[in-house]
Amino acid sequence: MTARIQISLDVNGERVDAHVLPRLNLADFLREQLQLTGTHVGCEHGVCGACTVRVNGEIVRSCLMLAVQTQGASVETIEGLSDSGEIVDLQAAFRDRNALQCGFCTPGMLIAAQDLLKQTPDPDRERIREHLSGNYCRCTGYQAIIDAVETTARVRMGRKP
Amino acid sequence: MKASAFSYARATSVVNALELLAAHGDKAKVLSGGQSLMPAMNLRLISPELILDIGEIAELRGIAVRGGVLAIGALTRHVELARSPEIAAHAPLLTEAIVHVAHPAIRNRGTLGGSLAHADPASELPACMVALDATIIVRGQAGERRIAAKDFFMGIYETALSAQELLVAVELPVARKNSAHFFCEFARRHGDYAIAGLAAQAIVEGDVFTDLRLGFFAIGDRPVLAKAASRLVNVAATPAVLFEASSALGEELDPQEDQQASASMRRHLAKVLLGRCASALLGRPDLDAGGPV
Amino acid sequence: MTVVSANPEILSVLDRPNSYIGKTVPRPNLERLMQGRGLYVSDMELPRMAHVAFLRSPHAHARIRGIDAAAAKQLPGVIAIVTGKGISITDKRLHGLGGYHHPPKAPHQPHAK
Repeated sequence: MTARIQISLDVNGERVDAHVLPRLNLADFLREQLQLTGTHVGCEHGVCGACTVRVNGEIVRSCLMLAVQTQGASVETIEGLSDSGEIVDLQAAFRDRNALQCGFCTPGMLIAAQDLLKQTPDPDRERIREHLSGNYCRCTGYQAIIDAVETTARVRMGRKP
Repeated sequence: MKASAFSYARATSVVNALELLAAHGDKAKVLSGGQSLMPAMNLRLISPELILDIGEIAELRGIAVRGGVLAIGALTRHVELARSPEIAAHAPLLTEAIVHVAHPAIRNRGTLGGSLAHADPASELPACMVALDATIIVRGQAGERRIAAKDFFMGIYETALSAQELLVAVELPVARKNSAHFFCEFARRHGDYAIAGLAAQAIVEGDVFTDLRLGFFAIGDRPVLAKAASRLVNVAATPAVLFEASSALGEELDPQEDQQASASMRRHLAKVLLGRCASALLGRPDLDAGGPV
Repeated sequence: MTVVSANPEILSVLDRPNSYIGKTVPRPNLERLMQGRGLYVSDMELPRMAHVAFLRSPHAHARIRGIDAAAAKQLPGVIAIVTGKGISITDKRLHGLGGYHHPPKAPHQPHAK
């Protein structure tokens, strides 16, 4: 009854085939079975944002999805977004502004920030705060993160940082 | 924490889903968006034996306008509601309310049907449906039932849905001429559960309400369609009239006390929301002066 | 903070030319952390690593009358099942810290016995 289920999906552009228990959530699947530990587990009930990944281009809480639900889907983690160079300017801005201390929230922050900038290329600080409201940071106090996202938006729009 | 072990089935159609629900009854839980179900399972608040995933059922998707009625499929994601031109045109209260639901990542997966079937008293969509005079469409093996939203929500996480039924769609009348809407919630942070909230749908002719539906949420064990609204309909809205409506509202509500707020704080916030609503919809800043409550 | 010294030309440890004070300190780990290649404790995997799982009571405010671990002990891969009784035998210093809002008047034993 609780037998394993065969799934086949795309993770960071690579085809993955796996045989998983229904109860395995996507975050644990990525971390434990694929060793993609960049996706972090914080609260396991959807509020902290440390587990944020992209599924079929949309950001989701991987702790609230079952691995079996990703059959046929395209999943992107921080490792994928980083390796493809998609967020290299965001990462540089985070580094320049020191927008991370322990770094635990950072993968989720970067993915959420990139999602915002793709939808709203010119967000004001209030809009940035709103979109990142689902990503908790215990270290920085958020200001540096908002600054880094704002700077990246400006540069992408061709303005001075 | 991790969810307990369960078996998993993906329903191929509504008929198939209903067969499985009939077979497993309350040992099964329907997985729609999963944004309320999964936290409950991860926190071990529930341990169903079977998870029935309805995410692939095409007939539960879609937003359509047919003869003055806006029909929304149960599997419509919150983000789809937010982006829908039909919703913006015919039920703009939803367009405004939906961005207050949780956070962007949650809205990409959470569904309308799931939110209504979950019936959290602090959530936005049930109150919106009550204010919009929506009809909840529910299907079981015995057939289809149409339940008025104000009769659907029966308590904390309790609805008129039985364990063998599936919420398939919601229908609401398209916004009429001179329609106006108001939405406001008090929460400490973006995306938090509301401490008190109001979703209102009205018809305003000149400077008078000819119809007013006030859907309060987070002020009881279910959304409340305030009877006090009638005090503001077809009367000239003076501060005295508002004060009376406000007192009536205070009498009518029976808010809960919890770690977020006391009952009296919620009662007070509900009155503030009423004042802001009247003020905003009638263009009367004097009504939101924060007078005697 | 001023350092008063008899000879103002002598540099203190605070104003040596290579001091980090007042400088932006480089953080070579940032790249790894931003690529999702940090190594946090829950990312670590060691050979033959054991895992601990906590089983919590499914009932709120219940009294635990007994824990029957016989069947669980037989499951493949189970190294040990430890209950409150087991802990208090080996380490009497392990006291519950009490409630966040109601600090205990006396230290109390682990709840499961």
